[in-house]
Amino acid sequence: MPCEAFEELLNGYSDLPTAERANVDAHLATCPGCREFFETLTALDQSLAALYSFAEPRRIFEPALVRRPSPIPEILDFAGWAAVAAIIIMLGMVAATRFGYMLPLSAGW
Amino acid sequence: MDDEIRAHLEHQRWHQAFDLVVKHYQTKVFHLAFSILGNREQAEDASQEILLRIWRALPSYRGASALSTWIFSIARNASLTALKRGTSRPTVSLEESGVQTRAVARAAPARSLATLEALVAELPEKQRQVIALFYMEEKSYEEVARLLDMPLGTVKTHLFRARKELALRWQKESANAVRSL
Repeated sequence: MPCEAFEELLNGYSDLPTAERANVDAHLATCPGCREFFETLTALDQSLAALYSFAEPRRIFEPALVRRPSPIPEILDFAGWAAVAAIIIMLGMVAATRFGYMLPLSAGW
Repeated sequence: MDDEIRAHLEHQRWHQAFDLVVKHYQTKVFHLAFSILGNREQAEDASQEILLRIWRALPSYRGASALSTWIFSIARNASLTALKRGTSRPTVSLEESGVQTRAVARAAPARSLATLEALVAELPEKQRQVIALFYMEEKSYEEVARLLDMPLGTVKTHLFRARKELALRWQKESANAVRSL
């Protein structure tokens, strides 16, 4: 286990100013617990870099896939479709109203 | 680059603008999606969907925020939606990522990396995201903060806690492995 006072400094070792780094180095030379923790941190740093070393996606997005005259305006996703639905419902109601009166008559009821 | 994209957008040159968005932001969008989803395949699927969303939303970009902020916001929301849609949070497969072929030799044997991968998966969500992005984004605190829309200090705190936790657990795992030999 590292000394509590040095834990944060060891964790951020690479960002330390030169003077502070020298203090940490002096402590590391005399403290096996901190040295072991620091070595683990260093190995961890390299291993994490290895674990996430695949920087690029394998599949590259091809803009041609979306080649159209222009992008679909976002409004069509929401209000546009709502308006279309509202028009259909209104037409349905008008038709139902008209046929509702006309059907019985035409059926002779 | 952003200025060039914005100029295209102002003149409704959607295709030119989108080409540049893809070229400039594709990798970052992928990194962000991976940090949230924790799985390469899913992150690649999500990246494709995110770029499609961006294409559709281009006309609605009004320049109220920086272009990158707008793009990363779409990417984060889409990735979080994909995460909710999915079930568990699988982690990147070492074989799939090609890690074994490139970097293992210099850092740790594959077994150690597999252990590390499992340890990362056990971290709290924000710490996992910060750890993944920090190493994918060449250890830039600022870039992680920008991508996750998180204050710089918060990024450093998450990173500090994650590295400390991982180091302590890794030491423990290594000690156990030695004992079991």
